[in-house]
Formats: sequence, structure tokens, C-alpha cells
Amino acid sequence: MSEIRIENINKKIKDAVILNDVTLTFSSGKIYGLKGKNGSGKTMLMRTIAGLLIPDSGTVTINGKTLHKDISFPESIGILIENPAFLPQYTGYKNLKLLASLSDGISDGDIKTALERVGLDPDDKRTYKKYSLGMKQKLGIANAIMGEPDIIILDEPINALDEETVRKIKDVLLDIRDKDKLIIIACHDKEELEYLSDEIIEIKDGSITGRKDMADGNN
Amino acid sequence: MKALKLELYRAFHSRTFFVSLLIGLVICILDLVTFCVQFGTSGSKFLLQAWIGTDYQFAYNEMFYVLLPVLACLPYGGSLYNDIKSGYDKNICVKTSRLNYAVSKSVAVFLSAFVSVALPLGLNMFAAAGMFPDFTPERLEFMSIRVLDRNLFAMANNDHPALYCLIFILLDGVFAGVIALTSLSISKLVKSHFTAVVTPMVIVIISGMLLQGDERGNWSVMDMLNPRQHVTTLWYQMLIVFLIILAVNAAAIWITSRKRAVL
Repeated sequence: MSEIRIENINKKIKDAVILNDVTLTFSSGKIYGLKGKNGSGKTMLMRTIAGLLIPDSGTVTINGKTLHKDISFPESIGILIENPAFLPQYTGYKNLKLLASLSDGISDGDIKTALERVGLDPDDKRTYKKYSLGMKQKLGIANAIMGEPDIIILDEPINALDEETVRKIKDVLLDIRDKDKLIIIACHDKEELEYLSDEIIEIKDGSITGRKDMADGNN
Repeated sequence: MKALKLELYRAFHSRTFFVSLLIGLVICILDLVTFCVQFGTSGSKFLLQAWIGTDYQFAYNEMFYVLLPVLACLPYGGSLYNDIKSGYDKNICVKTSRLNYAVSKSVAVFLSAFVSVALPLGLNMFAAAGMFPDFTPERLEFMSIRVLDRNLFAMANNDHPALYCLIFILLDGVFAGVIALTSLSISKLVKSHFTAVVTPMVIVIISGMLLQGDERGNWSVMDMLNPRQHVTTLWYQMLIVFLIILAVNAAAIWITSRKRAVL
């Protein structure tokens, strides 16, 4: 069971307001969709939740622990923010194995399962630099869901993926959500976002402008 | 500890580590082969004349010590720049703290630089010691590198030449480690991997020219690392220079890593 509480977060980069007094709460067992134009602040909000960006003011509390005060990074999180980035000289499996070594309790079986769930072959001997754009994206998603962390953050996860893979990824995300995990996604495709999300949060110019529960359609 | 293991694995399995090692080994092998071709393997030659660190007959000594900062930085010095540029640091910074990541990377950079410099020098010394005896050179002997009594480790040079070689291999390796940290500390400022790797050499050469010593002492790191000691370095000068490089780099890495936005 995870809960993220964001309270009055503000962030400026070079005088540009990136996040403006953002207050939100996320609970496990749901998929939250972030909706907004390019540069609206979706990615920066995701980075802030992941602990990658330190806000100028306000707090992010994960399961009662304040980020950058009680904890330096979320205890159980998987992310794909912007472009996937891996070591070009290693295979997909080897890349995930190296990153899994930073976490407790991710087995070789978990890594293979994550790869298979996104449609990659764990025994593929090709190195990451030989991967196509779609394969790189799949590996990024596999890295985020590997070991099924409590919080999963995916920024434009279905970019560069074919229809069949998009269907597969959607099923995987819904399955993970049903295991009481918290998923936050940002996506330009409105239909896909609405299909996947339990709640849609609208962001404009770094501020939250709306919140819609997809179950009852309430704003 | 997990981040350190990952960084050490990456450092010692990187292609650049092997390239650096290869360059160092080629220079050291060429030096010894040239020495053997020129003077043969029998006769009156001894270790301090044949070891690349103290051999001044050929250009290989100069070549190795001018390139030492690059040999140190090439293995893993530019890795933070690469991680930031590619976004790979995101994968790590959600699983460990920024400070732990920076410390782990610093240790990996230091050790890979140490090995890249110390291993070729060490192998050259052991190969030379296998062919040439560990004689103490006569003070005025032709091709003797016997250092002046006021120079560093003069007693070892006089009485235990092999020990003198080992001391300098260790010192060169340790200095290579802290020089390589410069690449890490400037990673946020530079615009290319090449600049991150080459800047420390430029700093060492320019500071070497500006601070070149004389009989009263030497503050040039470029000169103090060469076991030939053609200028006198006092022990406290070496210690102070080491501490300054270490402190400046450690402070820069700490300041730039602590609250860095991982974008």
C-alpha cells in the first residue's frame, strides 16, 4: 500500500515557473494519467515525485517519509522518464541485471519476466546499441516494471510502439495496478490515457487545473 | 556498497579502460624492447637504467609521463558526463542517493586510473628486473639515474633500487587517481566527453610550465611524478599538491552532486 502526498510544491528553473503550488495525493491500486501540453510540467512533476528534482519549496511525502529529508529517493520505484537510457555495449538482459543489482529482491526470474511481458526475448544476444527505437522503449518499460515496485512512473510509455505491443503494455499495467501498485503515466494520446487511467490530472503552466475520476466522470 | 559494485564493474569492463591500459603497455613494452635492442640483455646494465620510469635514453619516459593524465582519465573519468548526457544517471538516482552515486563513481574512477598507470609501470619494472640486476648505480656512472641526495627517496634509490621503483609506481598510481577525479568534478561544466577527459592533461601541462621548480623545490605535479627527478621535489610539496588536488576535486564533486537536478 503506497501513498504519495505532494504539498504546495514550487519549482523555478532560470526564472521560468516549472511547478506552481502543486498539491496532490496519489494512492495505490490506481493508475493516474497526467494530461497537458508540451512544457506544461508533467515530466517535471514526475521527476519531482521520483526524487530526481528537488523542489524550491513544498514537500513530497511517500508513505509518511518526506523526500530529501527522511529519504533520499523513493524506496520502491520504477521509472521511464523521457528517453530510455541504457549502456550501449550490453544486452537488454545484462542492462537490467546491472540495474537490478542496486535493488533488493529482484531475481533473474523477475528480470526475464519483465522482458517477456513487454515482448523482448531475454536470450537476445544483440546489444542495446543495435536495438530499434521500439525495442529501446520496451526495455525502458521493462526496467520500470522489473520486480513490480510499489510506484511506477511512465512518461510517454507507448511512444514508438506498435499496436500489438501497446495492447500488451496496457494489459501489463492494468495487471500491475490490480496488485495494489501505484502507477502514474503521461501520454499524448488522449484515448489511450483515458482507457488506462482511473484518474486524470490536468496540468497547465505548472499548475493543476483539473482532476477527473474516470469511474464516475466527476471533475 | 551496491552502487560501488556497479560502478567498479562498469569501470573495469569499459572499453576505454582497456584502451588506456593498452596505450600504457605499448609505451612500456616499446621502451624495454628498444633498450634491449640498443644495449643487449647481458653486460653491465642494471634495473634503474632499464625501467621506463628512470630510463632517460629514449623518449618513452617523457611520452608516458606527459600522457599520464590522459591514461588516468580515459578509463572512467568521462563516465559521469556520459551518464548525465544519456540520462543513465536517472536509472541510478532512483535507487541510491546522489551522494552515494558520486562517492561510488569517484572510487571507481580513482581505482581505474590507478590501475591504468601503475600496471604498465609495474609490469615494465618486473620485466626489466627479470633481465637486469638490481645494482646500486655508481654516482658518476654513465647512464646512471642516481638521484641527488636532497631528492625524494634518495636512500631507496641508493640502497634498494627496486624499492625506489615500487614507491614511485605507487605514488604515480595514487596521483593518477586524484588527477582522474578532475574529469569527474568538471563533468557538469564541459560540453563533450573529450573535454572531460583531456582537460586534466591541459591543466597538468600548463601548471607544470608555470610552477616548474629548481634546486629550491618544485610545485609542478608534472615534474614531481617522474621518478627521474630532474628537479628537486620536497616531500611536503608533494603532500601539499596531492591534498590540494584531492580537496578541490572532492569539494567540487560534493557541491555539484549533492542537490543536482537529474534531468
